[in-house]
Amino acid sequence: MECEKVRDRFSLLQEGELPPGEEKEVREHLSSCPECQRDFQKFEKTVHWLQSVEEVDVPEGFLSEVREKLEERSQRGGLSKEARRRPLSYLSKVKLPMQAVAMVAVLFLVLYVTKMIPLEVSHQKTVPSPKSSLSEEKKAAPVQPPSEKAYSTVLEKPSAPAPREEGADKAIPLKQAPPALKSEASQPVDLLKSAEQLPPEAKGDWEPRAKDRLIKEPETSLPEKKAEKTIFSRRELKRVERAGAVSADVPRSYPAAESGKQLVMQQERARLPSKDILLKISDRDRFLARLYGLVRDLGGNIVQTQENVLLASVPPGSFARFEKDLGGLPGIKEAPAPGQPALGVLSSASKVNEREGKDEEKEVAPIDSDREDRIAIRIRLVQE
Amino acid sequence: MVTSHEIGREVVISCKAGDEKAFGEIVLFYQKKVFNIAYRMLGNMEEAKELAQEVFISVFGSINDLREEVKFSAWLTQITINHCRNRWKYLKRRHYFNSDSLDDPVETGDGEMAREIPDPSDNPERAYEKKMVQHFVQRGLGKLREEQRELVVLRDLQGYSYEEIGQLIHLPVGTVKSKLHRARMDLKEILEKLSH
Repeated sequence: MECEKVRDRFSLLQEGELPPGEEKEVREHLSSCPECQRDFQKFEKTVHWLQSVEEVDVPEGFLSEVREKLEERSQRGGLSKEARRRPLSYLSKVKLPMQAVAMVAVLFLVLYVTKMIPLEVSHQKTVPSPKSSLSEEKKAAPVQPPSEKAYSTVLEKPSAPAPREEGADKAIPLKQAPPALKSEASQPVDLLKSAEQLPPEAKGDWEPRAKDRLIKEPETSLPEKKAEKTIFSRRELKRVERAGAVSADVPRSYPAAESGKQLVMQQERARLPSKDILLKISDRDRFLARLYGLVRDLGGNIVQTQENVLLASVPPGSFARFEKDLGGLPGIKEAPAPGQPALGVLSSASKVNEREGKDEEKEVAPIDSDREDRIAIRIRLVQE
Repeated sequence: MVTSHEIGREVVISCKAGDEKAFGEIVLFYQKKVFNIAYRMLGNMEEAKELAQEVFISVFGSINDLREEVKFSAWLTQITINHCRNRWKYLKRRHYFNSDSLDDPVETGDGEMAREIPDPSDNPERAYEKKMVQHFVQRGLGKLREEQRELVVLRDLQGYSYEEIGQLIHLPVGTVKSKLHRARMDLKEILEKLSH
């Protein structure tokens, strides 16, 4: 047997636990190997010393000290029991595992990043967009004094496609600030009124202030618009919102993408100098005959006629007369008072519109965009 | 063997019921064993006393968790081992054992005495008192790894069987035997170095 194997059996040999044959073999090796024999003697001595170690006595007063400590602890425990009755102190004793706390913190962080920040970003995107569009408009028309001339300058710029639908036309200015500015600017009656309502000190810096007013509180100057806004914009609200959200990202000067083109078209349509007039008529044919004559006399023309919707275009200067003369046409049962905003007419007839909305939701072809110096008037007829 | 002496089951039951007299009886019955395990594991009387007292306080506080009263002794030993492990780690972190040097005065059960370590292998019975041998062994134990010291203390100093040790430290008997042999061989080497 090798020395290493013999040394591995020292414990078993010393305790007499080796099988007889193996013990004999080990002992034979020990008798022939002085080094292993010496090593085994040292091993035996070590174990002997270990087993001869006597137990030390316990220090005096051991039990009494234990009792004292127990009493101290029980007093402290009693205090803690009293403290536990108070709910707040109990809460302070609650020890949450750090991992759990960290997990909850990470969860909140992730929720904040995924839910809150996108909302904030979208808000930021929708709000600054008017500024950029406004600045673009400023570039196009560098100096715009707060006068009627300014409005007419703006009026002359856009083309005049027919509005697709009342709701869409009204909703876009509400959700999209830049088109709103332009479309409102395209309504001389409203804007002149609004300009009069501006404080004198604001006129020197009209554009940004007017912009703010148009974006933030259009209902303050035109209270009736609020009801109209809620009624007419909801149908197209989602569509416009989608377009508006994208338009905030897509610059108008780069309409290369297909969506960009659509957006530009939408924005152009939104800033058309268009008017809406609702008329209750008793004799349709007679009214139409006279209307054609009136429009022709004023230098305009009837662009399109559908069953109860007519699209007319008149020069901007003739609009006031058109509006005035319109009330005098035969066959009209109820007509807007001269100078009354067309939107007001529309608003007062909003319930009728809602009732007949389905019939009138047909898309109307846009007015020829070459006629930039015209006001598009959509006349809706309600047969009594 | 120490483990053959078991306290009566009824005492444990009384202690579970909150009987302080029964608790005192338990302390008196097991204090020497607990204190000696602690002393051999930590090598310091004061630390051993503190630890042994903490063990009994823990026993009093958690004796209702003990389901089988007949296993009280093993349960108590396990608590003692756990306290020793924790205390050893605590003291080691504070470099408590690093100051141990052959030139330092040594501590015995009767206080401190000069460190004079002649070769005990010459004739320990004749040249040295028993306490000196015990101190010598204690120093050797302190140089062992904690796991080895645990096995040597339980088997060679406290007389637990391999099976009992296996149950206490959750190791198979064969593993206990081989680890204990390795610990004894290492201790032999340590004592040999200490004696030179």
